[in-house]
Amino acid sequence: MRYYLRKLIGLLITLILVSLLTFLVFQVLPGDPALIILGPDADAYQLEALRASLNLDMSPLMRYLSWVRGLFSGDLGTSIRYGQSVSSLIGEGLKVTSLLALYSMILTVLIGIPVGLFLASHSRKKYSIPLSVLSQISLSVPSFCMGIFLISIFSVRLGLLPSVGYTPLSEGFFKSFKSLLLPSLSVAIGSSAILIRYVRVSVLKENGRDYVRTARSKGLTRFRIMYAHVLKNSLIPVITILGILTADILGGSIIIENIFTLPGIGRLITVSISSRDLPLIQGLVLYLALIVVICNFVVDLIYSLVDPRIRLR
Amino acid sequence: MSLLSLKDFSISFKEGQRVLNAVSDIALDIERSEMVALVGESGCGKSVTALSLMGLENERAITSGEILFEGKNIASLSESEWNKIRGESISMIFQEPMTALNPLLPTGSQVLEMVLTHQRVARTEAKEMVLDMFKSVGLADEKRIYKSYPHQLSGGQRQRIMIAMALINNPSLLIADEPTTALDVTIQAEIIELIKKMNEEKGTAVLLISHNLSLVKGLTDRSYIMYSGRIVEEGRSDDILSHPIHPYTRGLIASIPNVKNRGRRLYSIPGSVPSLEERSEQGCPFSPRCAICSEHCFSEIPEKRGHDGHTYSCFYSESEIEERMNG
Repeated sequence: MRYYLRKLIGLLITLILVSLLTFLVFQVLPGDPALIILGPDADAYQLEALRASLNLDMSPLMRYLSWVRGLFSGDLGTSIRYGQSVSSLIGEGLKVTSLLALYSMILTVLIGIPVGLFLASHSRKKYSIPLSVLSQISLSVPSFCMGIFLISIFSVRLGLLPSVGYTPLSEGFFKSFKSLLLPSLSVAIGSSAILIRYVRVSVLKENGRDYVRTARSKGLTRFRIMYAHVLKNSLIPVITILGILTADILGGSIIIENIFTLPGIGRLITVSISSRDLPLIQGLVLYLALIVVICNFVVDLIYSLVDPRIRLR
Repeated sequence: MSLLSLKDFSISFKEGQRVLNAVSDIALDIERSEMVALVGESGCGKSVTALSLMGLENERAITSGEILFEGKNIASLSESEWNKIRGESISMIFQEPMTALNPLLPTGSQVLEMVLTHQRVARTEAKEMVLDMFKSVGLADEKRIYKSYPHQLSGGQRQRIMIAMALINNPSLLIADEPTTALDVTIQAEIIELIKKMNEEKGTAVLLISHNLSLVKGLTDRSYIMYSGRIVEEGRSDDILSHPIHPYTRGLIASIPNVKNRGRRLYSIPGSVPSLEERSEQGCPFSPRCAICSEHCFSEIPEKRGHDGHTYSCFYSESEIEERMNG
């Protein structure tokens, strides 16, 4: 119990620091944000009005406090580009991005773990070479290439799947799933190649441990040793990398979302930066930091469930 | 018929073009319910011999010769045939109780797995067997220990769990590979006594592998002294300890501290065990470190000699060895 409490307090402190840092970064930016947004031709009235709406007339401390007060009520300010509240924009983007993350993580695990296990248990066999080569290739091809490649096969040649656009869940699960399948696959091919390497190395390392020799001396089959003993032990580094990969996709795959024109977090990041939408950028930075911190927290929780020794530390 | 007998048994490793012999032509017998010691310095081939008795030797190891277990040659069994023997007829405990158990599973379920793999019993019944076994290996508070993870227990407790696991299916042979080396001195004697007790109560034959001759004393029926992959002397344990013949055995015994050599500098055999790569394939393996060797010791391998089950491999007779060592 104390372990979880300590982790939770750590999470809260990190969040406070992250919010402070996010805020500070935008304070030290040189120049007048209002002038940057409106351009040099803006008249004094417009500038004054924008400064007031951005709270630039307050002292930095007051501005921080009012921003934090806004955070607690879910109000991150209003986007200049869209004229909508930042939190609802991020919420909308998250609907798409979280589905993309979910599907691509499922695909990553479904490909990565079995192939990794196979390569680990047949590491010296010749027929495992094509698989290793394939995983090397998918690791080295950038995801946008993979995306275009998949579009050219599944959409252009075979006409099976839509090449661009997102169909929301409300129009039926299957249609929505189809619209996200190619982007999820483009993400999953790269990330499963990473996972395969981690699983392979981790299983090979565990296979040399004493407890595996004990398990063999008990007369257990290789299959039983693998799933009852080795798998759980080799999962620990694998969980770490899964956490990082998840945080990465939830942070919006800018390239993938742009190629497939998905209205997710990645698109939002691109638009907010190109239109200098300060409140939106600020909100997104906070969101990205939050995602990383939360993913790490979840990874810690899963560790403690897998390994009883961790709860002691 | 012996429970286990090794005949002309060799283990070698291929290293590039060279074939390195880890164990050369050894013969070893264990009778039912007998306690036998295999003694030698580190690197002499004891552990690799022990592992190959369960088919657990390194994949690169090449074995030759026979392992007769209950009259059947088990030297070249398939993995699934081995799995019927492992844990059921032959089981093993290891040097490092710290790492020999799976750190992520409760100890009870690891022993339970051993029962369920080899016996057709219900889970609840199997659990009762495990708890009973825990009690008989001296683990008080067996219900708590059943649920404990290895890191929550001491080294001695873990080794007791390993013993419980090894013996729960009533195997006919227990191989104990340096079972006390990693433990505190005070715990060592307890674990050895436990193994002895189990041997007496259940009639399990034990092959005790050790580098510690004084441990073997009064505990095992017979001993094999191994040097550089060969058996150099064998016989009844008390005979060998009170009356060693081979220069290597004499050296080992002389280097045990006791009351007689108190105050004097403790003897140690000059030189060290050659590594696998450095071993000479010609001559008596002990000749480079032997005080009494002569020229032909380096070129030929001595035959086994001796009587009344006390045999040794040396070119010199007992009296000649005695004479040369004192002279």
